[in-house]
Amino acid sequence: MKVIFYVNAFFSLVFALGVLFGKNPLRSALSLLLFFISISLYFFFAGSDYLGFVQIIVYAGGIIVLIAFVIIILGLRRESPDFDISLRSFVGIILLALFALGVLYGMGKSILHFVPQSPYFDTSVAGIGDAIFSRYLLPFEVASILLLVGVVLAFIFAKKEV
Amino acid sequence: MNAHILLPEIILSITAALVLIIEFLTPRRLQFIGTVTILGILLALFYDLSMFRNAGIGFYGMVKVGPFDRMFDLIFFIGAILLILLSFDYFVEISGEFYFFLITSLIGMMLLAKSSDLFMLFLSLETLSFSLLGLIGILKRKEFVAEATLKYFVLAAFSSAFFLFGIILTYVIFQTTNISEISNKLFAAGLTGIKPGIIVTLVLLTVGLAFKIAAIPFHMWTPDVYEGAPAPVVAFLSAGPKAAGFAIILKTLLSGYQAHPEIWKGIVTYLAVFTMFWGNLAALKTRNLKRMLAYSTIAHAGYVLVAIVSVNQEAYAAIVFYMLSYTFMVFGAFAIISMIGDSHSNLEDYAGLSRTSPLLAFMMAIFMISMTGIPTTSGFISKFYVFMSAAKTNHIWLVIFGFINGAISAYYYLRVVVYMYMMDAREEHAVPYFPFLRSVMWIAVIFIFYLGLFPQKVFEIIVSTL
Repeated sequence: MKVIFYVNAFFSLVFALGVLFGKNPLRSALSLLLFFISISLYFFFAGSDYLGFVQIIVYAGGIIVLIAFVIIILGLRRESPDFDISLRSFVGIILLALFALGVLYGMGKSILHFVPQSPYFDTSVAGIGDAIFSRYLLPFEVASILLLVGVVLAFIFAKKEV
Repeated sequence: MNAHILLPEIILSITAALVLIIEFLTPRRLQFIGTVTILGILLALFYDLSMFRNAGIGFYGMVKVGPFDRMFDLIFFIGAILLILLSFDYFVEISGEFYFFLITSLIGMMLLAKSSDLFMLFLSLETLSFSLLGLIGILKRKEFVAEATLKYFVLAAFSSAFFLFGIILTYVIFQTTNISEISNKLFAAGLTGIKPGIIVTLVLLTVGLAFKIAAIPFHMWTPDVYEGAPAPVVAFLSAGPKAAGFAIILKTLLSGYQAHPEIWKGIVTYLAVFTMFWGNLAALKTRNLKRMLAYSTIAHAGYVLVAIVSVNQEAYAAIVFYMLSYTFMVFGAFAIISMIGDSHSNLEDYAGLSRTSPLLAFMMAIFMISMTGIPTTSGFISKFYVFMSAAKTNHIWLVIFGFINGAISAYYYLRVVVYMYMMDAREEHAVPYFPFLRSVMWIAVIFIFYLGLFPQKVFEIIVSTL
């Protein structure tokens, strides 16, 4: 089990990098699809099958299809992103690496002191429904306001007249 | 569940839906929609004030409301109403969704000040950022607006990612996102063993928050957004959302980690010093009034951060008082900028204003003097309270840095006055009469002098809410 977990972690990293460095937009979208599927495996490992399936259906099934449609409709060609190593990007990469090391060090030092209390939540469909309509009612409602704002925003920016 | 403590937010959500429906039925009747919005806001304000002293926890610990949070609500309401008044004269033809975004941003800010759960905090922060995008980009055909909107969008998303990462790692450490539970766990267990992890999470959270309040070195978006966005929106941006940013800092750093202030004090001290100096020094070189006020708002954020470093009751009240008085100053200044015109905001455009419209020049001088912090204005009193709280907690160096910065800022604020009174205009053109812009200007002046001359009563009210 542990081996599968680490193999999956390795591949999700590879797919994530594939999104960034893919020269063909469609290939990047495909990497994203595989990345989402590997993410859903984490949910299966954590024992929440429902969330794993939702991840596959919503992200892999819905969002990637949308992205693929946009790529096809806009007719994006092969892009050649130029990764010239200028001084600025070099400093950026070094700072990012230091930052990542800092996060890993800090969390790694503290992670020994955790007392995992599993399972945190009941992740069955009923359990998630229960959480949404009790403890997480307010975030759920605020998320709906957020989505409404997003829809109106997209409408405002997309329509022709001012 | 205690749902009634969020009644103002519920009223505002209904108003937001109503505004969308009215815009659909009778498009582009701005004054009508604006009036409906004001009525909704006043109704929410009425319920907010009627429940002012009721403290309580609601929605399974997601929100925790006290009188102090309702003080922040007051600042947001004032900002929103002044923005609506400005919008009546400023915008000729826009879609009524502007008011929808205004209300949702208000809901976001109010929930930010009240949420006691990091998860909730993140969602309301996103609601706020998205609504502000709508406000900034509403005149999407105008010059620089697309640039301002895109910059704000990218950097808001970027900072939210940092903030979210911080929240996730906090959950990993504490197995909860509830701020009071985090605080309890820190009081009970202390820092043994988890200190490096907590520092990592605090750095991530601070980076996310520093973007929101435009602290150095996360301020890059501010000048461009301020230059591109419509002037009334800029005034709102530097009053309401900034106050909301400080409300989150009070929530996360001061309440969540109150058992161990020493772990975040260092970060915030450096942030305060650099923000004050960089903001003021950059403003010296700027000759565009909107960009200059952008750097000045960075510097003002630095002053407020000084109050956050000195963790005591008075500092809390000083922050609220500062944001209240800053709201009036910035709305007054941007009301006049709106009258002169967004595209005429270079210093040269203000030359000789004292001859063409003496009243406007005099008012602008008052706003500039108040921002400098010269006595009898509210700018002086608010700076006084901030530095007083820092001096009482022995942060003498911060007070000295603050005074140096006050002196630096006098140069560029008073330069505007010099241009208005001592330079000759290249071409004289009369400023049209805008009733609503003028009313905002008068409201701002009245409150600047009221808070400047009789601050005691307001300050006592704020202290009594703590």
